[in-house]
Order: sequence, then C-alpha cells, then structure tokens
Amino acid sequence: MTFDHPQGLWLLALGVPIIVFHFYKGRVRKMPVPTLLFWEQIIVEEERRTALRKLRHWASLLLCLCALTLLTSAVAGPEVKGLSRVKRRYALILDGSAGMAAVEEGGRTRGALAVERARAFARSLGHGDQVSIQDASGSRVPFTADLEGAARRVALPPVSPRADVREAAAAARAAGDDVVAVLFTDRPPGEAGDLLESGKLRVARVGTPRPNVGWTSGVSSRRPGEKRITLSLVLSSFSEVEEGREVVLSFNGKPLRREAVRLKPGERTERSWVLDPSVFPGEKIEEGGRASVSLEPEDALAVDDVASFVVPSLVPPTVIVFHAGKPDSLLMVALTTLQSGGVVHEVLLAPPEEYDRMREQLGEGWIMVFDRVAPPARLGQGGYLILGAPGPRSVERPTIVDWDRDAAPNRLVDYAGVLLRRSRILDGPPLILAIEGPVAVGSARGGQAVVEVGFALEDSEYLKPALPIFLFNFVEWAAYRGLRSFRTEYRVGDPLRPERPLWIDEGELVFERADRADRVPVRRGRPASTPAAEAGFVRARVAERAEWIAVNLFDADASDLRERPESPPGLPLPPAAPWHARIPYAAAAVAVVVALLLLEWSLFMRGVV
Amino acid sequence: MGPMAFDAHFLKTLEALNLLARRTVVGDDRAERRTPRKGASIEFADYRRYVPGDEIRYIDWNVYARHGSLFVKEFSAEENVHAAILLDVSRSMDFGGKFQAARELAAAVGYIGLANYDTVSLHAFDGELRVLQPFLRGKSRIFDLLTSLETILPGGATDMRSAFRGGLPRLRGRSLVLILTDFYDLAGYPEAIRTLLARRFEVHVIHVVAHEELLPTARGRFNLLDLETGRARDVSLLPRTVEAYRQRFGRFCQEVEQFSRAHEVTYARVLADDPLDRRVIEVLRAGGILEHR
Repeated sequence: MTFDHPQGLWLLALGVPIIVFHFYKGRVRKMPVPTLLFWEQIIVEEERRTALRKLRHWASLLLCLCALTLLTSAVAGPEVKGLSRVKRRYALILDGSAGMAAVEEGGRTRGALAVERARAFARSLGHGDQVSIQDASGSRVPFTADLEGAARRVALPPVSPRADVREAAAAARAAGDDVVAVLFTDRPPGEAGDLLESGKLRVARVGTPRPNVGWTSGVSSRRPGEKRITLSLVLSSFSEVEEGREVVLSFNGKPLRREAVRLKPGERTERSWVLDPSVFPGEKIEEGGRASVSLEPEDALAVDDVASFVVPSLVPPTVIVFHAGKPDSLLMVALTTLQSGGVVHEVLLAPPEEYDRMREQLGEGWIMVFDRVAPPARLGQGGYLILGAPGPRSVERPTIVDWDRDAAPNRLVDYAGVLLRRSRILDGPPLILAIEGPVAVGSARGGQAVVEVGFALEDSEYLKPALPIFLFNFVEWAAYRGLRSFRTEYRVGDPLRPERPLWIDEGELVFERADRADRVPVRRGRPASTPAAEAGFVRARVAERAEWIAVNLFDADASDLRERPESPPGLPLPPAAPWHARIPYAAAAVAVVVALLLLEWSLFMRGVV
Repeated sequence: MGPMAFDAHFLKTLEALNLLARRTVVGDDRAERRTPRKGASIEFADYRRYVPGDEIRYIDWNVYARHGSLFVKEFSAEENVHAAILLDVSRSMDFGGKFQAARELAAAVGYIGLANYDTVSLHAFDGELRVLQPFLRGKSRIFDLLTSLETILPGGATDMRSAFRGGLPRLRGRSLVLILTDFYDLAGYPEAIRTLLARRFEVHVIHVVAHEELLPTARGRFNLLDLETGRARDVSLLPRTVEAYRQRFGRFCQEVEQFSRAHEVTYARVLADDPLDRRVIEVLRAGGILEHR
C-alpha cells in the first residue's frame, strides 16, 4: 500500500484524544440525591437496556475510530494494488483547424461538437482523474482534478493551422508518461500510428465527411506603373458530384460582377479578375480598398468560400525634393525617369525651410527626399529618403562589405565594388554595411518609412547606374508597403503579428472584425499578444491610424472535407467511470466523519453515552 | 449554612402577618387572638340572661331599662396560640438548599408568631422529635430561635411516624403545628399527620422542594447516592429517564397535597431556590397558614 500524502497519517494521532474523550464522557459520575425511591421505580427498565448500552458504548468508540481512519485515509490517499482505481491523467487536445468550422447537420459546427464531446468526456471521468486542455495555438489549461471546472473551461479553440498531432500529443504528454492524449478532431491523424496503437493517443472523431467547394489559392498583382489590379485565384472542388456556384466580385463590400461557375468532381480551375478603374468607373478603385471574390451560396465550410484581398492605392506618389542650392542632377534624372514611367506622379522641388509649412499638407502617399540637407528633428507620416545629410562620424573612403539583400530598397541592386569618397557612419538597421559601419540604414513603422544614406550621390561613382533601380524600389516600397506595420494578407490561423513597429510606442491596438473587436495593449511599439487570424477582413487600428488585413484559408487540405484513408483505429476512448468512482472520496469521508461527530456530540449532549 | 439575616423591610412585612388558626384555638395566656372563651377584652361578643353568680358589673342596664330583664354582656377573650414549628432535619433535606430554605421559613414563621405574642416552640425531627426551643414568647426571643436554627445540622433518616408518635406528648396542649419537610417518608407521613390530627392539633405543612429535585438537569451516566440510606445505583440520565422521574415526582407531590387537603391540613409547596420573600408569599398564597393582620 502506498499513500499519496503519507504525512496525512499523522491524523491517526487524534485517536488518543478520541479514546480519552470517549472514556471521559462514558465515565460514571457520583451524584447525591435526596432519595433513590423514585429513581429505583423508573430505572428498572433502564437496567434492562444495560447490555444494549454497553454495546452502544463500544460501538460509539468503534465508530469514532472508524471515522478517524476514514478521515486519515481521505487525507493520506491510500493506493492499494488491485483495489484502488488507478487515477489517470488525460490531455484533451481540441483540433482548431479550419475544417472544424464546417457546419454539420443540425447547424452546429464540428468545433462546437468537439467542445461538447470533450466536456462530456471530462465529466465522465472518475474522482481523482486529472485533465488538461490544450489547443494548437499553444494555449493550455494545466492539469486539474476539478473535472467540472475543467469541463466548463473547454471552449472553441481559435482557428489555427492543422496541428501536427504527434507534436501536440508529445507536448500534452510532456507532463508524464502516464498522460493519455485525447484528440477531438474531424479527421483521424495519419502520422501517429504508434501512439494510437499504444493507447497513448485516443481519438474522438466529430463530424461526417462532406462535399465542399472553395478557393485554394489566390494572389493579387500589379505591374509597376499599371493602374489596375489582377486577382488570380484557384477554385477547387472536393465533391464527388458536379457542383455549381455563382462567383461574386466585390470591392469595399459592393458587388461589381457576378458569374456562374460549374465544377466537375474534383476539378481544379484557375480564375482571374481585373480591378481596373476604367472598367468600374465611380468605384474609386484607384484609391485602394478591400476586394473579395465569394462563392454563393455558402456550403458547409464557409471560410474557403471567400477570397479576400487588400488593394493598395493605384495613384503613384508625389515626390518632393528638399535641397539647398541646386538639386543633384543624377537624382533629378532618375526621378524624372520614374515619373515618365508612371511610378511617380509628380516631382516637386522645395527648400528645406519650407518643410514645416508644407508638413500639414503631406500625407502617407507622399515621398520626401532630403538631398544633402538635414531632415527635421521629428519626421511625420510618409516615406523619407535622406541622402548625404551633413553630420558627425564622417569617414573617408569607406569600403562596402555587405548589404541587406532582402530589404525592399536593395532589390536587384548590387553594391559590390562601389567606391565611396566619404560617408557618414549611421546608426540603425543597416542597408549597406562598410567596414567602418553602416553607411545606409533603413527603418519602417506604421505610417513611416525612412531610408538614410550616409553619403551624397556625387561622392559615389559606381552607385550612379543603380540609382534608378534603388529609387524605383524605394518609391514602390515606401509609398505603400513600407508604411504598413502588418502585411496585407495572412493565412487563417496565422498570428496577426506586425512586421514592423506600430505607429505608437504605448497604447492600444484594436483588431476590428465584422462581429467583434479584440483589444491588445501596445508596449514599445509592439502588441502584447497576437490573436490568430480568422477568415475575412480585419481592421487593425492604432490611435488615428488603421490598416486593413485580408485573411484567407487557401488550404486545399483543410478544404477537403471528404473521407480520408483510414489511420490505425487505435484504442477507443476510456469508458465512463462508474458512479461511485465519481464521488469525491475525501469530501464524502469528511462528510461522514462530520456527521458521525455531530451525532456523537448530539447524543452526548442528550445524555446518551 | 449561611446566616439568616432579615432586613428591616422584610421584618416589617413579617410583622404585618399573623399565624392563621382556622379553628379558634385556646391558649394559656392573653394575647392578640380571639378565643371561644369569653374574656375581659374590650371587644363585645354577645348577651346572655343573667344568672345568679354573674358579676353585676357586666349587667347591661340600658337593656334592663328597655326590656325589664337582666342581661349580662359577654366579651371575647384575646388569647395567644401555641405554634409548634417542626423542622425536618433528615439528610435528605441537605440537598439543593432545602435545609437552608426550611430554616429561613421556620425563622420567618417563628418571628411572625413571636411578634404576635404567640408562644412558639421549635422542634427538629428525623427519626425522633427533639425540642430545640420550648415555649418562646415575645419578639426578643427571636434570637434564641435563630441561634437554635443556625446551630442545627441535618442528619439521620426521616421517620415521621415514630418521631411524632414518640415526641408529641412532650408538646403542651392543643397547638398549631407547622411541619417543614420534604416528605421523604412516603410510608410514614400519612400516619404521622393523622396522629397529630387525632390529638386535635391544627396541622400545616410546608413541602420544601429543590429545583434540581423537581427538574434534574444532569445528563449522562451517574452513580446516584441516596443521602439518607447511603445506597447507590448506576443510572443513565437520558431525557426519557428524566421525564419519567419528573412525572413520578410530580405524582408524589400531588399525593401529598391531596392527602393534606383530604385531612384539612394546610399544604404549601415552596421551591428552595426561590428567595425567602417569594417563599413566604407562596405560603401566604396557599392560605390557611398566614394571614394579614
């Protein structure tokens, strides 16, 4: 026999005072009476009960000692081999993949059915069993013996990519080898055969195979200078019969075009739509917005029936060059070239002292170039290119040794062998790195993109041929994508994590969806948490600035709700514990003990000893 | 035993009371009580025809003037009563303050008698009757009475029958007898009282009961010890046991009271735990023993 809490055996020491009290209360006290006459007349019957009283006297002691033993065992938790029910620990894993959002007959989603099943399972366990709850997002309720509380805490997990079952089971079983993982899913796992066979992983399947049609991939594209957006999508059928749907193209929630589509069983077809302001006049497509392509009517899995895109502004940016004296001729030639190519709307020249006056009129769609003049101390929203600004830490003939090839301004630009006469050494994320330090740095946060080059164009001979490409890259990047904190598109289940610091350092970030808003505190320009992306549009709002985000499933595997090749069946779920195994032993024991003591006390107070 | 102390107010209350004799009894000395004997008090009692030998001074000449016949006036005589206080000093009285209560009552009644110029005698009885104070008279003798009461201690077993049979002849004449007892001589008390009645005593009984005796509060296992006999019995005082005892004791009290009523014996039951004035009031309420003057 072993004990869960052997220190509880000290309670047996209470037996001594119990026995002492028993004999104390059972002692015969002397009491003088004026006459025994009346007592003798009535205690004749009493004497007949003496045997019973003696029995009751010892039974009382026996009961008290039994109660103490019961209480001790309740606290110490004895485990007797072959007699005690083995206490189990179960890790309930709820599949949060997109397929769990499929609606079953009766109007309930697979996720809701999984939650119901998991709750029922937790409630069917015996007293002393423990459960923990986890989902693919990493959220976990630690092991607890409060089965009812755990059952209440089972909730729909956030949508996430289909978890690696083996990984999830391993994470669940990290608490100990005795842990049995129970996966509530719509799809039997195919990669955990050994776990299933060993019984370490049990599967509770919810939902039934269903046909489905949905978008399995999509992309929006625009060539530089073009004033139209092309949406290219792939529509897939996961059905054994021919399916017919109506495809609706919408912009900012307003339907622009409808067309019928028919798909043969298992067919996969590519479709594209062009959002051209000239084709849809009056829809203000050139200003950018939200475009979606949806299938009607919705089927069992609604999340893949809509493909969403965030369309950038099609209007090319205006570039203002702040300079002292004469602007750099090479810079002006390059900008004029970009203007003629439609990449830049207009090139304006202004002295640096005009910046403060013009600041109110400038917005995110403007690009400001400071040519060999110092920028203002505080930069506002918009894109900034600072070329050869005067300042300390100047070095002669720095040697470029590396550059950030993944940075958008450096795309297709090769700085190898570029000679610099002089440059300042800058602080910040390096775009171009010399032996002496960064000679060009770039940074971006919500609403602001800045590239600072430590040397003037006239001090660099070999940069001149690459300058138009660099400027093209910068304008393309800084006019829209460089100003965003978030990407324009996320996949379902991805964390909505910004790629760059937010517009403010401290405050609140609000993710607004059609039906709710999640508020996340912001610390040092970063959100404190990142909710999982759900299909559709999300508006990320920080102070006075907002960014639209499109979230799509685009996952053929998740959209396929048909029956898959069977995985090893594994062991069934453990049967429900019998009713007596669900009674909390300690509570029952304490209740019995309290009742016994109350009875004893009551009898003692009434003179029955 | 604590000293018996009566405050001034209580003494005044006692002085306003009188020992009540239902039958007019005859005493030896003049006092403040009317008797059947015609005496020399100033209270007119009756007329009767003059017979030779009557004192001429009692002839009512006004009646003679009106009717022409001689009538003599008779006056009621005011004579004293002999009050014999019989105090139970058996060991059973040494329970629940009964003895102290009985002593205080004896003192109070004795004081009432002495204050009314009655003759008071104090007797203690258990198995025999002992005279403690014979024939006290006058308020000043109250201290003798109190001294005797304070020095006496309970002891012995109650045997009222033999006590009254053997000791009574030592009492003088026809007296008012006041018995203070707990009546724990169940077999003997009827005969004892009948003996007194047969001797034409006016008998009053004060049944002294302790609260613990009436309603025992103890619960549990007890070895009950009979104070008088010394016998002991184990008993579990369960609620039902105590209830049975309470009924039995109540029946006993009723029996004593019914016997007293049947034999024209004044019966008063007092609780030993009550304060003395309350006990005196109880005695008053019972009627027949004390009266307001």
